[in-house]
Amino acid sequence: MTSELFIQYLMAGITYGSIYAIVAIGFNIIYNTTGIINFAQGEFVMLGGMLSITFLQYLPLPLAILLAVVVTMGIGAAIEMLFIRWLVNPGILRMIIITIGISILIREAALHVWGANVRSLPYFFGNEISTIAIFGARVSPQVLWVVGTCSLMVVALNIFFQATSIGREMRACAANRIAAVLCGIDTRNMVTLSFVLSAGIGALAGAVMSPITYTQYDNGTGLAIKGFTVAILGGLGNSLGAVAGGLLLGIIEAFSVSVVPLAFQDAIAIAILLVILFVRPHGLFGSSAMAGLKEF
Amino acid sequence: MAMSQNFGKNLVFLPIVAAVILIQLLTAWTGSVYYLTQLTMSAYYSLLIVGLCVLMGYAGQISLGHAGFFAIGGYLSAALTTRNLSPYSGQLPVRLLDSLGCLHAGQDLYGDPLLVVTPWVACIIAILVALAIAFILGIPVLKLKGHYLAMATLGFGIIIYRIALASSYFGEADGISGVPGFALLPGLLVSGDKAYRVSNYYIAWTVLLLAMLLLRHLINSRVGRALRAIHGSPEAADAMGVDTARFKLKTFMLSAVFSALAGVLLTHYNGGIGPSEASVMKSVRYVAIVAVGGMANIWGALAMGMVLNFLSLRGFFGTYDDAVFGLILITIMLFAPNGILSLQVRGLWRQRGLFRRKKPAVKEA
Amino acid sequence: MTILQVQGLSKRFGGLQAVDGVSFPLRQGTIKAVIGPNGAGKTTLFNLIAGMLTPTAGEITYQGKAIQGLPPFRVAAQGIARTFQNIKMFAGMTALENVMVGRHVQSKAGFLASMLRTSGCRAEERAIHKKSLELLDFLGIADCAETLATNLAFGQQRAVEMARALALEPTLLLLDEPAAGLNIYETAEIARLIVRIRDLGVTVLLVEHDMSLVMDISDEIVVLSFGRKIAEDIPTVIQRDPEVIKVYLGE
Repeated sequence: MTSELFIQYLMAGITYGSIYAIVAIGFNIIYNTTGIINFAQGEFVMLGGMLSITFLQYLPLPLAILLAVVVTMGIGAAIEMLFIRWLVNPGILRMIIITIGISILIREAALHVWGANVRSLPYFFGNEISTIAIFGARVSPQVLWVVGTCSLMVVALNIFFQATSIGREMRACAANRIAAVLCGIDTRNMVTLSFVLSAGIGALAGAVMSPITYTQYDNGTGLAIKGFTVAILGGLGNSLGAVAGGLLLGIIEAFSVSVVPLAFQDAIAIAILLVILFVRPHGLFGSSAMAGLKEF
Repeated sequence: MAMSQNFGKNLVFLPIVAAVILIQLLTAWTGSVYYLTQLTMSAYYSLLIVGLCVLMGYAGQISLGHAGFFAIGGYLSAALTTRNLSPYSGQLPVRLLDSLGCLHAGQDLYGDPLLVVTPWVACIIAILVALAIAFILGIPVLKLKGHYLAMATLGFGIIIYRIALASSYFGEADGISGVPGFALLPGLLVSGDKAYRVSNYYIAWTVLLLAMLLLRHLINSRVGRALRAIHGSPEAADAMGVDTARFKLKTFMLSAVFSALAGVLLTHYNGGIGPSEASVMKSVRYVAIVAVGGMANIWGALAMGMVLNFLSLRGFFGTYDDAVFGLILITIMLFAPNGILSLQVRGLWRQRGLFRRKKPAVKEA
Repeated sequence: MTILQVQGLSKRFGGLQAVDGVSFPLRQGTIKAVIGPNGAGKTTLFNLIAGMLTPTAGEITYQGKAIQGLPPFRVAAQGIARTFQNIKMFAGMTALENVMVGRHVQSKAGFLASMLRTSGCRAEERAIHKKSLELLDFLGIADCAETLATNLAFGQQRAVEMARALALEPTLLLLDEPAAGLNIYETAEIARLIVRIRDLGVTVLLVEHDMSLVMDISDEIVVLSFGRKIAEDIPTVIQRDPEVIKVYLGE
């Protein structure tokens, strides 16, 4: 393998990896505050892309993306308020089925609104053929947009959770919900906020990735599986683990192109998921003692 | 006494058998025999659904990958009964199968020699493969719980879907067509040919009701009690000597066999199978139907399996087919997590004693 | 004859030595009680014997076989039944069905036999039914047979749990605080019941808080404090043991 090719694969891996990481962090944010895995997480990403494409007809690109993110956040909030908020002590099986139902509804709604066609946003700078050189390899400038945006989101989220009082309240809610209630934190609003946040980051990722990966109404399922794989790789609930896991999966996928037929690409992530679930369900970086405390 | 008790318990089947016959007669009188096609297909889907119901409702294990087992059954029997082995007729495994009478020689459309596996053998192979995969997959997967179990079974389903879609042996996106009829007995052919429509309706219902009888026996037995005990309190079941892992695994294998059998029969009936049968949406749909039926209620699963599949196959939901199932999932889980029958209707029936075997002795007086 | 021998049994949770080198024998056909203040390691000891926990060190020998570290269902298969401190009924099953589950290790119908309802399976089922009804009768709750177990009163649930444990036909019965949550009348009744069970030839090991119950019915008592055995003797001696009094009443 030439070094240019190597770098090209690597960049492709990092690009996809950052998106997987964002989806995984979306899973984590909701999981941490509610103990729910939101199977509709991938649909937020799809919505971000689709809405941006639609709004672009009326608005300049930055505003279109901004509006798409805001609308998706609204949808996230609506989902939480309509379907989750008022359930008293729902079982895990029930929550799994409800979020699967939500993902189907969003996907089918998207199919009816936007059709089954593949769409995409235009490249933010230049077009499909414009490239920049990185260590001698030629990559699309959009790759930098994706990686840059995702990195910024991770940094911003970290600052939010560490340094702001709302972020700290959300973490308190994650650590011990009852104790958080006793401290006067409104945990129900924290749950809504977690849906809004993960919808928002998913939508933004969906918008910036759209020019390279395209957007289609049924993108969500595949992204959800990969995001979940990454979340498990990094240890469920651990966002820095998710970044590492995302990059790992992205790079493995990118380099496997030369070995595994394209049709089985998706199977790689699933195979990794199954192996991880069987061998180290607490993730590569988690400890089994900690995992034992969580309710799966 | 036990004999009469048993007989009494199985009286439940009488009204259903009567209804099955009545519907057939009705369609014959009103000249709407074409309904039988969808009713036959629904019966095969319901076969899968009642098996999944035992896994989900009684053993308490969710599976988002049962379309995978259906596809294993359907695709294997389709491929084995259509893929020509005559180019390999010199090779040992093929010669061995041939000498055992497992192969059927004929001619294809162009008059070239065609050597395929007979449907019975293909059916047995398909079911054994499903059983083996359920066994190998079940050992690690059933150690998982909740989200992890859901995702792992979902992952299994997607892998099967990908294999069906990507391998030329299974026909890629086109699937496999031209699957021959399956002669269960001489003269009793599982086939979509119009001439066999009525007999196939009865074949499907016989298979389904036999399956119901077996499951009913199972649930009201030592095994069924152990399964319900696992669901009711895993620790106490363990302390009573129930090997929970083993019972979960066996139930998983049982439901896989039901799914694979449904896949085999429906594929012969339809004359082919396509990758959509292996899709995640199908698996989710089966889970939805079990949920609507009330999870631990094989009769509810049967009823909902028939109604919803029939409506869906008749195109009643139009282009909103998948959306309808999504909506059903959410609505049921939000408002009636114990199934549709758990709503008012069931309370009413209970009060009137229709659902009770024995009238409760009135003690208050 | 010794039916169960606990030898140097220890269990450590991280930095906490919950059970520390405990040894005692259990003679067949007797009632032995394990007592001790809160946090003495009684429940841990109990769970070690029942197979819920694996010991860090030591041996549990039951009828000459080492059983430490076996999973609970294998321990049950050896003929050791147990009850739970906070009753664990099988939700959604009647009292009778709960007891019938207890016949699990004494019966053998598998998936195929059950589905086909073979004649052997039917005969076994009738036997299970009969035996379970007898047990409910033995415990005086036969009229609750068809009631959902979780709808029964607390005392009745305790009795169902006892019947369920007896359905295993155990040679050793482990009782985890059998009097917890019962009033004095119910406690007295449980005490009589335990003695009757012992008189059937079943060896009983119980963990209990209620001193009066323990002193009344036990043949021997083991006292734990901070994971260690500090005394083992017949009730009248234990009552006068200065160390036991110190542990219970403080300095």
